[in-house]
Parts: sequence; structure tokens; C-alpha cells
Amino acid sequence: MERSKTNISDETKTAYLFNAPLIIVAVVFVLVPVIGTIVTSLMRDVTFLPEKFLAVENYQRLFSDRHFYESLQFTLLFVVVSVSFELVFGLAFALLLNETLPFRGFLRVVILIPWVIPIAISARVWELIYNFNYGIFNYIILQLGISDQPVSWLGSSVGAFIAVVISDVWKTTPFMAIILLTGLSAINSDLYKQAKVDGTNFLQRFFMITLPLLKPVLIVALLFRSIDAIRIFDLIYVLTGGGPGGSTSSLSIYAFNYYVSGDFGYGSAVSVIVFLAAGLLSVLYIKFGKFRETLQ
Amino acid sequence: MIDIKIKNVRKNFFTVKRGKVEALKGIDLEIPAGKFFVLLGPSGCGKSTLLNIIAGIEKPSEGEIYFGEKLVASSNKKIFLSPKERDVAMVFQSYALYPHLSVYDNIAFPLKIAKLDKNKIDRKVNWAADILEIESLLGAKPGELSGGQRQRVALGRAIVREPNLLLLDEPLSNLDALLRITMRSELRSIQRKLELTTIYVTHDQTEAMSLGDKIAVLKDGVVQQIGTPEEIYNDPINLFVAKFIGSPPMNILDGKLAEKINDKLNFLKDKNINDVVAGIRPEKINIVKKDEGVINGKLKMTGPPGGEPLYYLEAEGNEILAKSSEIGNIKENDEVGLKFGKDDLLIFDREN
Amino acid sequence: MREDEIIKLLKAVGVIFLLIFCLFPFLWMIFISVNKNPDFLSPQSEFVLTFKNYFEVATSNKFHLWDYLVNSLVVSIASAILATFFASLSAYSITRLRFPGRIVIPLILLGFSMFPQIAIVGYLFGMITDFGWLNTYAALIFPYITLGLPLALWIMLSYFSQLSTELDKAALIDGASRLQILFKVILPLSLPALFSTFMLTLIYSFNEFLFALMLTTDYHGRTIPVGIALFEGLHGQIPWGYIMAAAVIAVIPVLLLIALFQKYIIQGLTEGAVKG
Ligand SMILES: Nc1ncnc2c1ncn2[C@@H]1O[C@H](COP(=O)(O)OP(=O)(O)OP(=O)(O)O)[C@@H](O)[C@H]1O
Ligand SMILES: [Mg+2]
Repeated sequence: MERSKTNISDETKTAYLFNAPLIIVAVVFVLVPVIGTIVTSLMRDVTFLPEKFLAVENYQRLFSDRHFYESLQFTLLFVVVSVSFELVFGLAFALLLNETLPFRGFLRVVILIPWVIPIAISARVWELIYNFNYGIFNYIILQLGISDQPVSWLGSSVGAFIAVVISDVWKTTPFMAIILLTGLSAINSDLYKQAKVDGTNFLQRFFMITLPLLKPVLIVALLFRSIDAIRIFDLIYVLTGGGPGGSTSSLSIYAFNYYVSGDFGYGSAVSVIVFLAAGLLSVLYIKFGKFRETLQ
Repeated sequence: MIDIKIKNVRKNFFTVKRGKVEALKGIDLEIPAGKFFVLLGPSGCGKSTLLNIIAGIEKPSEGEIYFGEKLVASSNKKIFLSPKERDVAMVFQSYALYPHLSVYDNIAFPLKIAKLDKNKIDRKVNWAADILEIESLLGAKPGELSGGQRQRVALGRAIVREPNLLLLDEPLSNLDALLRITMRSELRSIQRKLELTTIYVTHDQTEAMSLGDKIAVLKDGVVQQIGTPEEIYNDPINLFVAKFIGSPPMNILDGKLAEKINDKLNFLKDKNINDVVAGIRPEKINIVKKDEGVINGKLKMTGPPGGEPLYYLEAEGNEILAKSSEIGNIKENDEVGLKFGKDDLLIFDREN
Repeated sequence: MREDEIIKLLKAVGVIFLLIFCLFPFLWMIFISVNKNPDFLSPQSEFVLTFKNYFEVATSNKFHLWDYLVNSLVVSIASAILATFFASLSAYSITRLRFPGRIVIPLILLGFSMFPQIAIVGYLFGMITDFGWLNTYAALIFPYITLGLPLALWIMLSYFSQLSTELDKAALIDGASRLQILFKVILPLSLPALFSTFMLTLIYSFNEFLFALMLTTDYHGRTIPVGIALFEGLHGQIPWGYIMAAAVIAVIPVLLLIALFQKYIIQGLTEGAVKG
């Protein structure tokens, strides 16, 4: 099709006009702050002190900061452990909801509940559930005789780690399940009939058909969740506050504490690290997500 | 080679939206060993459900199924053998090729599950590939194949096990018209060669007529008629079968017409004229000069040039299609006579 | 045991586990909220049914429950509407118009969404303070638009690309402008997608915590998650009954949403994440 020059530029103009609101909001409220954070991370930006350009001094401080490494270690461990559990539960729930079940519609509503309740709110419920003196977990443990001592869930570093993981798995498994469910329902059901006729049992069907065909969706879901988990903040802030003794202080919490104490420069440097970690995962995500193909 | 007996099989589905769905309402069938048996019926009549029950993918709500002497499914005796134990192979309309496996691995899949040794698998896969002429495709993934090639692979996977029974659920309906006809005859010759007991599901009556040793016509979960293609074509048991079989379809003439010709065809006198209709196949009608036939009519239109000679006529308020070969020099809107033998006129109870 | 019996058993166990897993903390929240003694599990206490907690948090003006809830609803509805609208505009141009940047814009926006909030909030705090927006609705509405934007854009993109462009051509020939086409032809045809998008961005905003924590200071701007997270007793004792009652009231809006519109939410989630 032949188009005149003015026509092309008209179309382009319209297109940019249509994209303007989105781009402006994204630039002002995402790009500018992110660049600002990167710049700040190169400065001394502490309340009541004059600003000063430090170049990489904040980062040097960071890499010799024992607490930073502890925080990094906690964050990575948290990502690996909680995303693994989510994957297992999410896959199990997705397989279940993909079957014909009575009340399947009801179950699909139920599974959304943990996801839809703001985590800051459910964290308070978990706080009560983990309570040392009258929390239900300790009650069950004592009643069943699993231990004769109540467990110090939020008062010990191991307990707090487990508590954070349990609550996070509860919150995010539904998301995983829904994503995987879509992947499952995209698999032609004739394949399962065929596999039955070919003599497979249900375990063989799971490992030889479901898993390989679900792999692309699985990878996307994993990356998506990892990116999210690496920046965990709300749950820990409310549930443990990063404690006890900084043992559950994620990178985001660690940075936040510096913001609150007025050291924006150092806090920004920590934030940049979170950003880089998430960015690394995002690159993988975009690569595996086949976004370009969807666009074309 | 094995014969199959189906005794009073019923199947009910329970759904939230439609409540109880009676997909099969008491099916009795005997499928002779080594024969090509066709289940024919319109969409939703329960063909796939019946096939799935025979395969062992679905449980019958009631009834029994025998493979030879062996009871493979019984609702009363709580017997339900898995497809593996029944040793059946199946080809689906969607071909159901495993998209992540190569053609070779697709065909080898049932053999691997049966834990055959590598050499034997290799020999059998090559044997099947040879029969279906797909040796050159063995390394490809299903996504790279054309519809016809996928069809062959699916067939290969089905025959490679040399199963007791081969089940085919509308396997040709995703192919284009020409390919469908070639595959039809190929399928038929493979079945003959291997002497496989085969049950073939289709809603395409031409396919059923050209493939089947025997055909069962289904409607709304009920078997209407069982017979050879000739029996079903020449002697349809009811109006539904008569209308469903044959292309172009049979002419159905209203009761009024029968009344008019009553004096010539007096075999109708014991029937109440309002309860019956008459049917006549287009090729049994000869177009002759006016007043020389059984009834008179008017030629409305001739069929498309190049195709079979088809004539659209109007007679006594009925639209009639004729496939007469010699009509002489007759033009559209001429008055003509329609001639047919009284034996060719089929009388049915007026249904519904 | 036969295979179908094993599967049946697994299904039953699975359903029970799913119900306990998803519902337990939620039911526990309700249970404590109607309980006079939140420590009833300890030997010296007992369960006493009461609705006083609800009455107290709903009527006492020192808790500001309704302020928080109204703030949350205003902020999340406003940002959801804007995000849906902006995403529609952009998605329309990307699926219908040819222009340099057609492919790059959505990719970059998607990349933006991967920026962790912690890398935004520090500097944003300074910006919002400079704008004089601290503790106002605007402080949250605009950042929240960016929160759900990639998802919104993706849902709208995949929906619009399914709609035939012949509609646009017909309307163009009838003399309609692009904006008119979007409003009069495309959007009315896209109600399900718009609805999914709106709902998901709403839920995202309603759940947000860190921005709200940093950018608001009291009940004039604070949202309900922050309100409940910072809910402390006056005398050191944590008022669990009140917190749980407030929590139950706070989650009612979102629970209603999923109960009524489960289908749209699931559709939106999967469009946004899997296809995208
Ligand atoms: N799993 C199921 N749940 C509920 N109803 C079903 C189920 N499977 C089939 N049915 C119903 O049973 C009836 C028969 O379906 P079936 O698939 O056997 O028809 P069919 O003859 O194969 O049709 P088609 O030619 O369209 O494939 C239909 O009314 C269908 O809706
Ligand atoms: Mg069918």
C-alpha cells in the first residue's frame, strides 16, 4: 500500500499522543526515581549533612559490610526455598483444579483468597498464629506432642526464617497455581486419552507428557516469582521487622532501614543491588517469555 | 483379531449447566473380528463417548463389553479394564501427537511404555513407517508436519503395537477433500492387510459407505440401524436413516402426494395416509415427457455444469431432486414427467 | 489399589488440603475477631463469643478504620481507572498504528515494572515531598498507575490484537478519528478485557504497602494495609481482637471482587503473565 509522507507522520503523531500518558507517568514515577536512586547511591546524602559526591565509596562500604552479606544471603536463600515450595504446591493445586471436580468454581475462588488479601494484613494474622504463648501453631505442636517446648517462631532466626517462608508460600502459591493452570488447560486433552491408550499410568503421564509440555510456562512462572521474591518487603516488615537480630532482614528491608535513618546514599546503594539482581532475572524472563513473538 | 460385543451400554454425564446428560441410551452392538465397523451419526449423538468406553478411557454407567470371551467392562460386576489391559490403539481427530517428541519417538512411545527392548522397538517403528511411507519423517517434530503427514504418524503409532482393536475417531476430518479420499482407500487397504478389527467413527456418510464392512447409525445415543452399506442405503429402517444416508439426499414427498398417486400405488391402503411419508432416491427418478411418468412436475433448475447431472424439479408442492442421465431436449420451466418404479418408493412413518 | 482409585483418593486429599491451606489463616482471622480473648489457647483463658471488636473498631474514631478504607478505595479505584485507560490508549496505537517504537515501547515498560519498589521509593519520597504531595491521594495514585501498568498493557494488547482491524478500516472510511474509533468501536467491544484489567490493577493497588508506608503519614492519606500493619495498642498489649476485626472489614471489598468476578480475574492474570 502506498502512503503519502504527511500520512505517515500523522499516524506517528497520533501514536505518540496515544502513548504519551503512559510514558509520562512511567518516566516521572519510575525512570526518574530509579535514575535518582542510582545517582544518590554515588553521593553522600545523609540528612543534616551537606551532599557530597563520593563516586563508589558507598559501594566499597557495602562490600565490606558484614550485615549486607548476611542480608544478601538471607534474601537469596529465601528466594530459592520459598519459590521451590510455591512451585510444588502451585503445581499440585493446578493439577487438581485442572481435573473435573465438584465445586471446581468454588475452589477457584477459594484459591484466590490468599493472593487477594493484602499481605500486610495477613501478616498480622500470621503474627498471631506464630505467637509464642497462645499461637495456634505452638498449641498444635504441644497438643500433638511433636515437642514438649513451644517453638520460638519469631524469636529465633531459624524459626523466623521458616515463619517467613510459610507465610510467603501461603500468599503466593495461588498465583503460581493459576498461571500453571492456564498452562495445563492449554494441553490438548486428547493427548492424555492417547497416552492412556498407549498404556501409561498416571505417574508416567505426569512425567512424560504434562511436565515437558508445561516446561515453558513453568520457567516463566518461576522467573516471574523469583523477581518478585527477591524484592520481598511487606511481609517481613510486618511479621518480623527483619529480626530477630537482623536475621530475616531482606535486601529491601536493609535498604529501607537506611532510608528511615536518613542515610539515603547508602540505602540507595543497597537498592541498586536489589535492582541489579531483579534486572538480571528480568532479562532472563523477557528472553524466555517470548514477548516479541506475542507482539508480532 | 478379536470380536467385540457391547451389551446394553449406557452413559450418563452429570454437568452443572445441563444436569444429567444421557449420552448413550442402551447400545447393543456386535463387531465381527477383522472387520471394518463404522459408527455413523450426526454431531453430539454419542459416537466419541461410545468409542472412549470401548477403549477404556471412559467407564460405562451401565452395561457390559466383551473382547472375544473376555469381559472387559461391566457396571454390575465392577469390572473395568484399562486401555493397556484391553490392548487397544486409537487415533484421534486432533491426531494427539506428542508435540515434544519426534515422529520416531511418537511411534515408539507405546512400545517403550510396554518396555520392549530397543532393537525390537526399532524394527517395529521401521515396519510401521514403511507401511505408511513416512520413513523420511522419523526425525521431525509433529509441529513441522502437514496435516496428512500427521495423520500418517498417528496411524503409524496405532498400528505399531499390532493391537487387538483399532479405534479411529473421525481421523480424516481435518484433511482437505482430496487427501481425505486418498487416505480413505489407504486406510482401508492397511486394515485389510493387517486384518485389524477396526471401529471407525464419523459423521460423514460418504466416508462410512466407502469404508465400512458394516455400519451402525446412531442418533441421540440410540442405535438406529446396523447393516452393510448396501442394506442401509437401499433399505433404511426409518426416515432419519433415509435422510442421513445418500448424497444428494433422498427426496421426501409429503403425504399429500401419496394420496394423489394412491390409485397407482395401492400398497399404501392399509396405512393412514397422514402418518407416512414417501422417500425416493434422486437416481431412481427418470425425467420423461409430460404425462409419461408417474407424476408431472416442472423443471426449475439444472445442476452445475461439469458435475453430476442434477435436476431440481417441483411437483405437487414438493421440491424434488433427480439424477437422471438422459433427459432429451428439456429446458428450465418446461413441464415434464417423473418416472420411477413403485419398489423404489420407500414409505416411512412420519417422525416427530 | 487400581489407578483410578488412587487418583480419586489423591483428588480427595488434594481438595481437603487446598481448603485448609487457603482458608485456615482467613478463618482464623474471623475466629479471633469474634473472640473476647485472643489468648484463649493458653490454659488460663477461654473462648468467649463477642462482636464488641467490630463495634469498637467501626465506631471509635481513634482507629480511623473508615478513613483508611476510604483512602484505599479512592486511591486504588482512581489508579485502576487511569491505568486501564492509559493502557488502552497505548495498546490501541501499538496494535493499530505503525510508528517507530511500536515494539520497543511495551518492552521498555515491561522492563520498568521489574524495577524493585525499594529502588524507587527513596528518591520518590524526595520528589513527592518537593511536589508537596506527601500524605495526599496524588502521592499514591500516580505511582500506583505504574504498578499495574505492564499487566494492564499486556492484557489490552492481547485482547486488541484479536479484534479484526477491518473494524478500524471501516470506521476510518466513515470518517472517524482514531480517538473516536477507540471510544466508539474498540472499547465497547473490549469490555471483558477492560474489566479484567481494571480489577487486577485495583487489587494490585489495594495490596500495595511500601509506597503507602513511605509516602503517607497519617489517616489523611494512609491506606488500610499500612493502617492495620501499624495498628498497635495504647498500653503495650497488642489488641488482636481489634486488629482482626479491622482486617476482616478491610478484606471484604476484595473478597467480594473475587467471589463475583473470579473468571475475569483469572483470565486477566493468565493473559498478563502467560501469554505475555
Ligand atoms: N465429559 C462430558 N461431560 C458432559 N457431557 C459430555 C461429556 N462428553 C460428552 N458429553 C455429551 O454427550 C453427548 C455425546 O457426545 P460425544 O462427544 O460422544 O458426541 P459425538 O457423537 O462424538 O459428536 P461429534 O461428532 O461432535 O464429535 C453430547 O451431548 C455431549 O455434550
Ligand atoms: Mg466426537
